[in-house]
Amino acid sequence: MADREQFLANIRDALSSSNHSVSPAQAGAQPPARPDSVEKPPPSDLLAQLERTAALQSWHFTRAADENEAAASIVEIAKEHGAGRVVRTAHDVLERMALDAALTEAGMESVLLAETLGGLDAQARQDTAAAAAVGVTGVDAVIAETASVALVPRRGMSRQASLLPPVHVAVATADQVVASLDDVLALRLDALAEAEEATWYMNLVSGPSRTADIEQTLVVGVHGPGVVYLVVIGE
Amino acid sequence: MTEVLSARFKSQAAEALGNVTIQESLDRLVNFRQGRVDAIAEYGQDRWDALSDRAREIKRDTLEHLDEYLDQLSRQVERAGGHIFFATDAQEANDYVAKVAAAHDVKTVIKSKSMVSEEMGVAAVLESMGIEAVETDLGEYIIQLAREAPYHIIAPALHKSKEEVSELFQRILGTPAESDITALAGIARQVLREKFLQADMGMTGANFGVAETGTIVMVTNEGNGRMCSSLPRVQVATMGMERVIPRLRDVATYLPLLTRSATGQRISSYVSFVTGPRRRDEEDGPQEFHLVILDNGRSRMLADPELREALYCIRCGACLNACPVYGKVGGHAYGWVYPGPIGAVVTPSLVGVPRAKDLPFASTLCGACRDVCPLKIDIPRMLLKLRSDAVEGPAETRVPRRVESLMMRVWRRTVAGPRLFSLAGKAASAAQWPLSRRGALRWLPPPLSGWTRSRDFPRAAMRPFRARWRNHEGRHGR
Repeated sequence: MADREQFLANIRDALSSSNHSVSPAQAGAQPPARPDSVEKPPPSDLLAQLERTAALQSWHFTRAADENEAAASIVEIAKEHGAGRVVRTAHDVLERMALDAALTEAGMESVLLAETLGGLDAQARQDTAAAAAVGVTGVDAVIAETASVALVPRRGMSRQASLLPPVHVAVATADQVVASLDDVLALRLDALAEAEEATWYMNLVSGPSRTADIEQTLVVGVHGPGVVYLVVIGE
Repeated sequence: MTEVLSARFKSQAAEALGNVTIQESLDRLVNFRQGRVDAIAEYGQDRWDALSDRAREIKRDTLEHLDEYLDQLSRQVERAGGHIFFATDAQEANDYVAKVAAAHDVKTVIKSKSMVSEEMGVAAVLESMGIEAVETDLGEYIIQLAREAPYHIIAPALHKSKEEVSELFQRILGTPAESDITALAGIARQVLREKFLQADMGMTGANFGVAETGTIVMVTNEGNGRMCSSLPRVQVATMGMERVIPRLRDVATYLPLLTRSATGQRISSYVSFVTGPRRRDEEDGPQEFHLVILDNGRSRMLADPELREALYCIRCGACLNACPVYGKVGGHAYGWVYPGPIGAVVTPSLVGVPRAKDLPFASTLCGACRDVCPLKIDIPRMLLKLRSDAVEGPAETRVPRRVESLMMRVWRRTVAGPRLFSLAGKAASAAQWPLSRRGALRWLPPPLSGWTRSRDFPRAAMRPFRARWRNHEGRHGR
C-alpha cells in the first residue's frame, strides 16, 4: 500500500527529474492571481437574462409578484401533473407561502422530507420521495448566465426532493439571482469561513435530467426529473 | 487494470471502416462539433481565449507543485470527514475499493461514469467478488451489457444504433423490442431506478478535486451521479492525480471550458460538489466518503517535460470529435480506455510505447486536435515525440522494426554515392514493369506489401532524371 508520504515523494522525484525551470523546493505553490475575473459575464439585467437562459435550459420559467402568487402557481403545476402527493423541503420561502395549506385546500397531500424535524425515517423518506409526482424546494442561489439553481442540502433540506420525483419545482426570490458561477463559489467560500463544519454538498441544477447516449438523440428525464419549473418571486 | 488491446490497432481500425452502422454513428459527431462552435460564440471568443489562457496557467502551476496540492487536497478531504487513499497503480486502487466494499458487506454498487474506473477495470473486480456493480450512465450501461469498452470519452455507446440497443435489452433484460429512443431510455430508467434505491455503495469519478476545500466536482447530465453520491451508505470516488485544481473558484474557469467543448452545453444539467460524507445535520447522503487518488503511470508523464502537457487534459473529448482519423476508425481501434488523439498520447504514455506502438502513428498530424483543445494541448508535438521514442528512444520505449531499419540502412548506402544510386534507379525501372498498372504500383511483394495495402506506390520514371539531364546538357550545350 502506498502511503501519502511515499506517493508524494514519488511525485517530487518526477518533478525534479524533469529539470523544469522552477524547482518545487524553492518556490511555494502560488496559483496565478485572479484579478479581472474573466469568468464574469458582461453586466446585464439579471432577471431578464435569467428568463432568456432558463428557456434555453428547458426550465418552465414563472415570475410571481409575491409568495401567494407563487403558491398558486405551484398548486397549478401539481394539479397539471396529477399529483396526489407533493414532497418538499423546509426552505423558509415555502413556509412563508403556507404551501402545505394551499396544496391541502386543492385536495393534495404535502409531505415534508425531513427526519431531523421529526418527520419520516430514512427508508420511509426515500420511498415517499420515489413515489411522489412532484418535489418542491427552495434554492440557495440562482445563476443568471446558465440558469442554474444552487442547492445546498442541510437540516430540513433533503437531497431527494429535487432528485427522485419526475417533476421538480425550484422556488427562488429575485434577490437570490447572481450573475455567474464565480459569484456562487465566492458566496460558498464566505459561508464556509463562518461554518463550524468543513463538510458540505452542493448541486447546481441547470434544467431537466437529459441524455443523448442513443444515436445522439435528446431524451429528458432519464434518471432525475424530466420536467423542471423555476419560480422567481419579486422584482 | 483493463486489458490493453492497442497493439491490434490496424485490424480493429479495418473492422470499423467496414462497418456501416459505425460509420453512420461517427458521422453524427458533427453535432458535437457544431455544438462546440455555437457554445464558444455565445460565450464570446475573446472571453473564451482569456479563460483558456488562465486555465493553462493554473495547470502549469498545479503540475509544478502537484505534491503540495495533492497534500492539501487529501488533508482537506480528511478534515471534512472523508477517507483518502493514494494508489500507485490500478491493482492497489482496486484492492482498496474491494476492501471498503467487503468491510460494509456491500451487495450492490451503483457506478456513475468515470474514465479512471475504466482504467482500473473495477467493475469486473467487484463482480468477481460476487458484488453486483452496475454502470448507471445510459451509455455506460449499454456498453456494460454488451461487455464492450467505451467508444468515446463523452458518449460511450456512440457506435450503437437504437436497433442494437433494443436487441441488447431484449436479450439481457428480456424487454420487448422497441424502436423508440425515448422508450429505450425509459426501460433503462426503470431497471436502474431499482438499483439506485437498493444499492449499498456508490462509485463516482471526479472531474476536479479542489485542494482548497477538499471538494470533488462531478459533471453529469442524467442525474445518476447525484444518485450515486446521495442514496447509498458509502461513496467511493476515484480520480487521476492530475485532476486537482488549487481553489474552489477555479471551477468557474474550468467548467465552461469542459461543458462547452464537450457537448456544446453552457453547463451540464448537474454539477455536484462533494466535500466529505453527509453533514451531521443532514437528512440524507452517504455516511462514509472515500477518495482514491491514482497515479498509474502519470508520474512518468509528469517527469517527461515533453509529455507533461498531456496532464492538462480535462477529458472533454473535443479532440476526438475534430480528428479525421477518429472520425473514421472510431474508438475501439485504439484498444484501451482513452481513444482519439489524446488517447494516442495518453495510452502509450501510461501503458508503455511497445504495448501501443501504432497509436502515435494513427494521426495525420493535421493539428485539428490542438486547435479545438480548450487547454491548447499540443498533441501533434507529443505524437512526434512518441514516434521518435518508438524508433530511437531508450530501450524500454523502442519498438523493434527490423525490416524497416534494414531497408533504411540499404537506402542510406544506396543514396550515398552516384554509382549505386544510378544502378538502383535502373534496377527499379526494370523491376517495376510487371507490377505497374496505370502509372502506379498497386502491389509490392513482401516486405514492401505493407505500403501498398492501403495506398499506391508511385512508379519510378522510365528514364532517370540524371540520364535526362545529361541528354538535356548535350542538346543545349553550356
